Amino acid sequence: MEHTQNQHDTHKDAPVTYAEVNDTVLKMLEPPGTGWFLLLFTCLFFLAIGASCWFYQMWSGFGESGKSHPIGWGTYITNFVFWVGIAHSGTLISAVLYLFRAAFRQPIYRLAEAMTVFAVMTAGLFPIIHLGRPWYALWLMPYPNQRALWPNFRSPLLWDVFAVSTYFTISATFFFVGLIPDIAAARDRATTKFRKALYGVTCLGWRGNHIQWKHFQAAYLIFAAFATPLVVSVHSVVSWDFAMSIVPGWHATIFPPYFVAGAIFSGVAMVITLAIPLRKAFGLERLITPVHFDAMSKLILLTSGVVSYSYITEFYTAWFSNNPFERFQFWFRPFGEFWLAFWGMTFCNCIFPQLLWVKSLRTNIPFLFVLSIFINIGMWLERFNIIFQSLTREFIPAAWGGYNFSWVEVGITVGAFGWFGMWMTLFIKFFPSVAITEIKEIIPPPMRRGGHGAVAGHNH
Amino acid sequence: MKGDNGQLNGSQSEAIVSGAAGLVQISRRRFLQGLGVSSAVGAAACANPAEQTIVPYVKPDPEQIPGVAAWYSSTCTECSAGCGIRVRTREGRAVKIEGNPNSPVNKGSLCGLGQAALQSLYDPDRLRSPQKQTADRLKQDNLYGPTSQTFAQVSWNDAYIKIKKNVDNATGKKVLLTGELTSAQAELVGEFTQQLGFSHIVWDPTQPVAVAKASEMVYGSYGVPTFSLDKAQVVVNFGADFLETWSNPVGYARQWADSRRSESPLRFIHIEPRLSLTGANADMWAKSNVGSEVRLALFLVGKLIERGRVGALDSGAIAKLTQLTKGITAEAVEEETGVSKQKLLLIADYLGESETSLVMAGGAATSTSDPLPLLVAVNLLNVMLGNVGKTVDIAAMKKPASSAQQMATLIKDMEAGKVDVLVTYGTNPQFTFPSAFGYRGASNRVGVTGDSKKAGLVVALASHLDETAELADVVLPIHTNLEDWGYVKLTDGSVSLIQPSMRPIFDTKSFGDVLMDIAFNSEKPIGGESKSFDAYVKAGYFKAVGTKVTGSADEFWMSSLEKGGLFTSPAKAAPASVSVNAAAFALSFGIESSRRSGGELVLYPYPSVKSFDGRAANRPWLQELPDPITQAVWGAWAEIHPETAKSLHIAQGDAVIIRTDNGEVHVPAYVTEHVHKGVVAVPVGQGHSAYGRFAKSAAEGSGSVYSLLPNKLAKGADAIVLTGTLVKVVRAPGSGNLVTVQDFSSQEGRELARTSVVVGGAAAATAHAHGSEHGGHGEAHGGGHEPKQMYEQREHPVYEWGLAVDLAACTGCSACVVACSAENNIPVVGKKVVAQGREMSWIRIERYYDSVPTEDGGEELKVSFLPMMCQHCQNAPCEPVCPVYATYHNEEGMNAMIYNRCVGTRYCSNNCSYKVRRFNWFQYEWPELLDWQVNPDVTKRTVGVMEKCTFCVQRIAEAKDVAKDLGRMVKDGEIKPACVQTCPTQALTFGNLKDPHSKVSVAAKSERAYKVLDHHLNTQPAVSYLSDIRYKA
Repeated sequence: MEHTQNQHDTHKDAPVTYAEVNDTVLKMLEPPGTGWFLLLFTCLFFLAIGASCWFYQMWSGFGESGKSHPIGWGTYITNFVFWVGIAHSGTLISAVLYLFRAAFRQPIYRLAEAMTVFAVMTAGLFPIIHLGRPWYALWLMPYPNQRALWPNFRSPLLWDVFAVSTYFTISATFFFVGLIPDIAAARDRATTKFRKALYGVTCLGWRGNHIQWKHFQAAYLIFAAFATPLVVSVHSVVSWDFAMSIVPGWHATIFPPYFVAGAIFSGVAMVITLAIPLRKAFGLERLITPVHFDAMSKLILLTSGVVSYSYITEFYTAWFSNNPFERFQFWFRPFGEFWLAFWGMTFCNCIFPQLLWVKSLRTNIPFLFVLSIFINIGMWLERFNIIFQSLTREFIPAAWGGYNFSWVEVGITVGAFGWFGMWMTLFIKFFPSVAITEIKEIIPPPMRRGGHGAVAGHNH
Repeated sequence: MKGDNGQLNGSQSEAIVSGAAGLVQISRRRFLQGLGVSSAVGAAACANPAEQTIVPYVKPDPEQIPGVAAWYSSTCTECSAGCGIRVRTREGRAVKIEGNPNSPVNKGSLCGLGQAALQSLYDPDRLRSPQKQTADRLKQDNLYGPTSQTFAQVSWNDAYIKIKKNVDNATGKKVLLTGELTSAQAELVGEFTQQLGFSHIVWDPTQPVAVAKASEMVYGSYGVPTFSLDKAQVVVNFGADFLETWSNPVGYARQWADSRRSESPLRFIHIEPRLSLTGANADMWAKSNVGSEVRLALFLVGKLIERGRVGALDSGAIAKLTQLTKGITAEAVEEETGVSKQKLLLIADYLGESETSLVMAGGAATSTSDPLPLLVAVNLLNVMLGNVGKTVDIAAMKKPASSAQQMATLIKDMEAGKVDVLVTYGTNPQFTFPSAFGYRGASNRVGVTGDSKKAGLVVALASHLDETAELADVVLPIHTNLEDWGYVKLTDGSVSLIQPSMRPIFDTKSFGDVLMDIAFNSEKPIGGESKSFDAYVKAGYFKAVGTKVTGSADEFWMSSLEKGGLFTSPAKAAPASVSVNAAAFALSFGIESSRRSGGELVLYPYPSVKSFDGRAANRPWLQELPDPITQAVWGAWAEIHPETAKSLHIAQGDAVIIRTDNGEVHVPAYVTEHVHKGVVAVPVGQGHSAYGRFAKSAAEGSGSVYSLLPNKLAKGADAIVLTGTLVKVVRAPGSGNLVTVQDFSSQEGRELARTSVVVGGAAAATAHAHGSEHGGHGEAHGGGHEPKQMYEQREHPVYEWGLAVDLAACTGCSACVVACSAENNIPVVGKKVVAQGREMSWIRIERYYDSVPTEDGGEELKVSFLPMMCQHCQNAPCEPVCPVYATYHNEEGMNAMIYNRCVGTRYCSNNCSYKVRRFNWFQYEWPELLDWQVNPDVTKRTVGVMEKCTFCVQRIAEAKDVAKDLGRMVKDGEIKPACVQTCPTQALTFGNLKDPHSKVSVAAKSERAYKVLDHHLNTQPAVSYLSDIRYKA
């Protein structure tokens, strides 16, 4: 191991080898340092804040959130849509790009998938947090009961329940299946009793023989095919929460594609946000290379374009419909009380990403990190604009109203990041966050003559 | 009907309820033991040892059926209009007040103030037992400064002994100071003052004494005439807010609406400095300079003389008037009053051309320092137009007894130590009499000469510890009106009875009984044969009705109690001859030249339905009721014109200080164009420092408007000067905590509240035939709706409930909002929660400012009121989005809500285009005692569930039950939701839309009918609105 390490140091441009992949990735699983614990405790602290706020809200009454009479949905649903959106790119990168054989996905897909699963777990909390009576959340499930009470299958909220739970099931399964060979690799190097047991169970007896590899490939392909439609369906269903209503600013047929594009946009940005520090912290520079960032930047540029186009279409539709309520709503967004949110969103999502047309910026890691944060904020603001702004100015001017953010909502929002961060932090220490197997597919196999001088991704 | 017997059972059943709730699943013996304990505890709380003998329903009273309401007819005494009421009781507790349909005054309707009398009965801050002041008021360091009152409980006996000692030994004056009394009380007080040597003084700031005085000067007798708005073609009104609080608001609102619904609706012109509820309903509203109205009235007099319309005036009077009106040109009056020349000429033309008309003046316009000239001019106009005997009935006059002059003299006497015994009841001079007169200091000097103390006593007979009662030595707790007996003699000869609707809650006594006790103790008994006040009332009632008794006396008494009194159809007002008092012409009809210096504004206090003169301030329903004009809740505000506000650097909601030499008031600013530039308008009645928790919390230490008023009385009239005080208004640091429920006043062209503009003389015919000018929305009319939709149209096999709202009749008075709160257990959430946009009211009265075009191309202000409740849409947007079917469409056409099933996603509220759903953000509780009012037929909702208007489904169920027992369908008009029942103008109609002949079906097919937003959204509401009508002025 020492030997290979030295090799890396002395030959920075040398091709990545199988051994190096194993070493680099599995090194991440070594006993954690103070940095990791600091990160974990920060996350747990945020989570504790969020949990306390939620319990306080349940104890004191839902009025502790800032919602008011016209604005029945607020921060929680914004967070829900935001996190579902984050989840999206994971499936896109792992499943869709797998089917398209896009090689740039390999080093980042595991991270993206983990992000997907944890983001869905985060998103799934918010519909419950936002309920007036969360202790009756189970009534949204179609379970058989003596009174023959069923949920209302016409309600988009019920579709949400199915969409999100299906998405979680499939993406978690897909994620886990992809992990099996890598867990086996970790098992082979596990030293502690706990890790031996953990990997021994979760690798499901993987020995790496040909039959297993064959089955694995087939299964992976099938799950990828399963997951692919979900990329489109889940966020479409989420968008129907709004599109199926009659609220001006919500009732729009463009919402499903608009939301899916927005979700991929925000998801890729989140992958960049997570990948950059991870890459730095664990020395993955040779696995996650500027080439990958360049490819993700292009994806951002594309989805930013789609999102911008959707924004323009919304305004055009409002104008063309000659519907006074829609027209007012779309006048109100840029020029009304919450103009800052609108123009903030426009800057973050439409204008700032245009800098990616410059090639050097697409591989400029600090720039990308800043941009990805801006996109995350911009996409949160997009949901804010849709949800809050539409509700503040509906049909009856006498019932127009405003919104007061409360510290409880802020606490719960922070808590969600803590929750998500906690899972991510645990994951990177316990499971390989870069797919060992898949990276090995794209680097030269260890032959006697040595490598082809290719860095991951280049030979495709 | 029943007397004492039924009421006794009331308390018994309470004991049963409390016993059963606490002790479930125990043996019968144990239960009865517990019952005994809980009865004793309940009785102990009442502190009346006699009630410890209470036993449960061993022999149930046949009239007390658990679950079935018993109704008691009575008379409302909140203001002095004398509306008949019916009090609904359940298991011995009053739960709702409605208007008595038998009463000729209000015909079954009731205003918000009258309904909120329940919250006076159940006021958690009510006096529960006799109290005596422990601190010696004479030893206070500063007799004129704030006193620190401390009270201790005493027995009735001890209190009576103390009173007897002082009454018997008094050498100075003995004074009984009351508010306006009921007829029975007034008669007894007559005997009392005579027997015991008391003098009686009445103080009630709401009484239009100046109007009564002006009647004396022009019509020849003192009193407030009865007006008939429904018989007039044109009504010109100088500031009398008769749709909100003035004189007889419910009765006049009905007349006004009846006329507007008729074939020839009245044309209503309202002149005032600040837009009132009445002004908002006028066809033409003219904003005038304060105190300048007399010039406008004189201008009209001049114009009528020009036309030769002088009516019954003799030539001498005409000559004097010609002299007076010389030189009053339209231009000059425009300059003086601020009302445009065009409007002036139009008003003159309308009046001159009308056959029957009515000119009125009242309210703030006649509370100036010199109110008589305007009132005399107005009365003269009525004489000239021949209205006396037609629309002005001077035979049926209400004679207010309130006297500011006597009050002022009393205060002087008290200061001089000439008064030894002061007994107060039903009036709050410490709050409502300008504090500049010094009532507080004077009250402390009762029985004091120089610095030495004689035997002096201040007794307050009160049901609440208000500012006046706080100053008393002895406070005796008195029944509220709902626990008391009495009668009110109406101006038309009817006698309206007052009877208790439940047993007294606390150790209180009737005012009449206390007077009789005091007289008896002093060995000068009053009341004749009667040993108690209820007997006195019965005897007095028989005396009052005289020969009109039918059947046996007992039968007649019972039927009178049942009906609420003896109501005679009013005699037709005979055309009266009028002799104008020469003094009338000797008045100065000029306006005081403006003495205003920079930064000073004219104070324009006005009574609001939310607080009236202050007596309603401790009622949470009224505090939380949005003011119809400003939409503000909880506490007072100051209306300021935007230009004035700008020059004073005041913005909407800023804290401002209104200051005079006499005091200052801290209120939030409400910036509105609909107030005169030189005026700051403030509702009176807020700013209590005592009276109760709600009044005090609403006041937030703001101070009362009465404290700003000067130490002077109106010229010629026996009244205080409410309007016209010059004040300094300055911005105070910070926010004023103004909370309004509606922040946007424009309809944004969305045609929510529609108006049909009618032109010319035979206006109504046109209005009803041509209907809306918005011809393009014919498809929105209820009848001709051909919906295009994916799903099948819903079927309603038996009933399809619907509501029609006639905007031409709706005044925005908000009585329906209070009725809904009372009926449906709608919680009061408080100012802070309302500020967060979380008020719970199921009806809101939306108020929009629009303009209607005038013939000359100008624009006239049009204020629209749109009562908005659940529309019970056939295609309800709320229904499909609920994931758990907590809201659904039932087969009677209603959008039903299942509270139990609701998980609180609030999707329904988001998707409701009318925004009528209310979410329980917190668990709301009723403070102890106010919870006695909760209607047992309606579920109290818990935290986290959605609620909304149910069309009072409990009343529908009850009517269907009755109909089923009788083997028939529910009849049209049998079901009246609370809002429909109480509406003073009958603007709301409820019924079965399946029946093409039902009133609601007919209304929904009216030419004026439309459905809000339906033409945009195809929601197909069950609520139809009939567009308002306006003349093209």
